[in-house]
Amino acid sequence: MDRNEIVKTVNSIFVERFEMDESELTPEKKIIEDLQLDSLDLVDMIVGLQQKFGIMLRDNPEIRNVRTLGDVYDLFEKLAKEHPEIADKIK
Amino acid sequence: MVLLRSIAIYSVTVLWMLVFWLAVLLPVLAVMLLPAPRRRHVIRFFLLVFGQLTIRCVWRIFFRIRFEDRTGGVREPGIVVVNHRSASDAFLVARPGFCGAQTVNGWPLRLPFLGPVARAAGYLNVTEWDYGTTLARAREVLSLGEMIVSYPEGTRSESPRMNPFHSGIFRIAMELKVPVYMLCIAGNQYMPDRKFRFREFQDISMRFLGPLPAEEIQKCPTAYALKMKVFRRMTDELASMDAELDHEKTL
Repeated sequence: MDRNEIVKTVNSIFVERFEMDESELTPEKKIIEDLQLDSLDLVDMIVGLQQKFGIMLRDNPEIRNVRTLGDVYDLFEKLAKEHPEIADKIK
Repeated sequence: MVLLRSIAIYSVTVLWMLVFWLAVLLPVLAVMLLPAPRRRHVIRFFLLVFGQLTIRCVWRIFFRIRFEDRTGGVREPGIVVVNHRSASDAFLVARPGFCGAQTVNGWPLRLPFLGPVARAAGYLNVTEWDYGTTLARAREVLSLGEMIVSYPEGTRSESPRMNPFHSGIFRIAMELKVPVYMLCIAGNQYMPDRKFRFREFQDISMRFLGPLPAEEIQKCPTAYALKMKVFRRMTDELASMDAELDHEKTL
């Protein structure tokens, strides 16, 4: 699963669940400050990511370090390498 | 000048507050014998009358408040989202004339005199209550045919620019399947400012918009989607209201 596929999948969650315009979803965007997600919205985001990628994030300490959309892409790029089955779940 | 202005309006308001609450003291004490939900409902009615008289009669000495009702007269119980530039908003929300409970951070409930009244009225302490308690109390208020008045920015902005919204109240609207109204208030950003000084007296403009019907709200996939819809709508409306006020100032 390459980076482009990950970016597309992550962005689809923001478009479907938060009705964001895809054009505003760029890696440098800060999730709280720029996209205006608060703590409750972050829960929705994590639930969406878990459902889409089919993995649990609750116990993953790295999710707490996510600040920008680029950090989300990086995290899932790393997870996709560790769990190659993610690619099948997305298809 | 700032000091004089502040002394003038606070003196008149405090004096008026004493007169009003002394005048209704006996009925208020009698109301304390009622069961809790009914008691809170009646105290909120007294607060509505107090707020209406304050802004229509007492503050009229100092500035003018222009109000436009664009709801088409709809008053179905729901959530009223208000932008929050100044502490005067807590009084100004009485202008549309509906009875309701406001959501507050903990500190206004600890104010002398007004704090105990707000607590008796069952105002929703959103920073100290958990989600379940807030939801149950919101349900109680709505079942009595009243509104929940909420400031999703969380704190005063003291600026024409709105702070980002919190999602909690929009989650409650979706869960309780109630409409969302929007009350836009412009012109009062320094009346008073965050240090409670009246830096100016100028006209205030208020517009009561909505409601976004419950069916439309249910179509939103998340509370975030709903809050951003409301945020954008209010941002546009406030920009036009501020432009009108600026234009009038130049005339």
